[in-house]
Amino acid sequence: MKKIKLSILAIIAICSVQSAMAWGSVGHLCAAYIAEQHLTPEAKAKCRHYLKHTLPYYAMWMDHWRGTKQFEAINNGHSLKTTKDGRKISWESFASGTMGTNISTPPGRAMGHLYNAFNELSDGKYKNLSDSVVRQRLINMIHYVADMHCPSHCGFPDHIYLPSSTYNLKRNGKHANFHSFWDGSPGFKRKKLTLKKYANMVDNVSPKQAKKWQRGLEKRNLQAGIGSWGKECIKNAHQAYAILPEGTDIAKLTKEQVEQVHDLADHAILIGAYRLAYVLNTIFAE
Amino acid sequence: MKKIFLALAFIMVVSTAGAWNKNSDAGVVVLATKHLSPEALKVVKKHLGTTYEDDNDFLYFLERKKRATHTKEIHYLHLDKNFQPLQVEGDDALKALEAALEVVRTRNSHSDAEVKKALRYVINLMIDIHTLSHIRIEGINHSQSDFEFRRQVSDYKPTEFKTYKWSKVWNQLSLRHGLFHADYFAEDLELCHGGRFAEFTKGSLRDWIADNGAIAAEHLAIMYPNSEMPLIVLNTMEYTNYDMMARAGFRLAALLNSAIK
Repeated sequence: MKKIKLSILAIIAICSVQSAMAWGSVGHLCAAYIAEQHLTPEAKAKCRHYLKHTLPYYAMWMDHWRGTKQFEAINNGHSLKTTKDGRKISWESFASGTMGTNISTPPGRAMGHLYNAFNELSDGKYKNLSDSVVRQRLINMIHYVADMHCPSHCGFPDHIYLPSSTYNLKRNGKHANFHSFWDGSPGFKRKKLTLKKYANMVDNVSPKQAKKWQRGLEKRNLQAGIGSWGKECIKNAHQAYAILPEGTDIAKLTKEQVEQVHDLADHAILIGAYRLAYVLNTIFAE
Repeated sequence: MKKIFLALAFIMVVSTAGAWNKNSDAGVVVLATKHLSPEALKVVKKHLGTTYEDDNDFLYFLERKKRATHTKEIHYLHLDKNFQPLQVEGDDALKALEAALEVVRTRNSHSDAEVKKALRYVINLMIDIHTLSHIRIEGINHSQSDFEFRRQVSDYKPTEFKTYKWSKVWNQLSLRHGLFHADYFAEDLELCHGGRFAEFTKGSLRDWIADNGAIAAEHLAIMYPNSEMPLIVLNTMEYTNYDMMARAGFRLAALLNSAIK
């Protein structure tokens, strides 16, 4: 009997490892897929010309390659970082949105990468670049735009790195990683997802709402525009802390908490997806 | 307790069955259907319908249901040092594939059920012979059974490794795109490799097998029991994996087109 119990535990462990592997990619792949559904025909054709793939194929490319020294340049900057305001931060003040609300200007990290890539490609400038450079910039944008909208990708002042190691969640009483949880939240307690199934489930955004999300990327003040997107991302990050107070056991979330997690994760993916579509449509409009 | 154990074991088998994974295997079949001749498409639709999710998993399904008349060896290709087929006793992917193809060719003298089963064998076995861990090559001892190797977690953590199984590494690489539904997988494969249909389908089934054997041997030269692999090599293998999926899809179409005229 003891052997059977051990075998069951081993099987459960193997199954859960397989699920965990897929979770990390759900947000990126789904954001890229939804973005692709909202590209203009011209932008879609241009993206496919340069990528020789669909957008989701490259959605996780940067995470797969960032660990190689050949691609050292993409190892950092997958997140946002708030600026110091001279006060000592507390998790409670961050969760309530009373602290950690400002981002650096000019925009750095993920926003900075987006800013640079957009500047390099927009106004028809992509036509003067080699195909491989355009391809690489597109791959970067597909990843960074989704990443900056992920609720756990916002750093605190006084914390160089994301707070995954200092903000404790639990899973069945043992330490669980806040950052990893939110990275995987779109797939949390959702079985057998495919890109189509996920998009059908969440993508019911009105044109008016989409336009509102996309507002801000005016060329005359691009830095401020991307900065305004970043500020909204930080609001989402605040909510992530509010939904899961420190010490929450994620194996014992109530139905309402699971819904809140999904609502925030889906919202973040959708905003990222619609903005990515807007960025690519703007670049390839010329 | 035993029932719970069996149920859990079944879930695990289902989730790992197939040469690559269920969605990508189905994607390969959808890619093939895009390149079928009108005659071949008509026969395939008549016997299999228009969705292939069960068809590309058919041999594993029989094994799970304990209704298989074959052994697990049917999923493996046995090649000599020059990547030519070895005459083996018992089950072998090529032997079974050629027998199933013969049924498809002479379909008018077989029942619908036999033709359907033969088509499913062809689909399953074409996927199997394009999965590099299913190729056993004479003289490469570690190709004869499964083995473990280690891959570096990151260049920045040179002493940290993850253990991989040769039998699972191709499956795991395809899981990087595991959310792709079958149609979308086929669309992406077409975007990437669409212009290479003629290149990949040049020659006969035995030429394709030799080609696959050579590609497997290249990888087995750097992957062997307890070998340590940099991350960049594993990442590059993803392109080989994708390439093999496109080969499988295009060649499946070419094979059926030549068998159904």
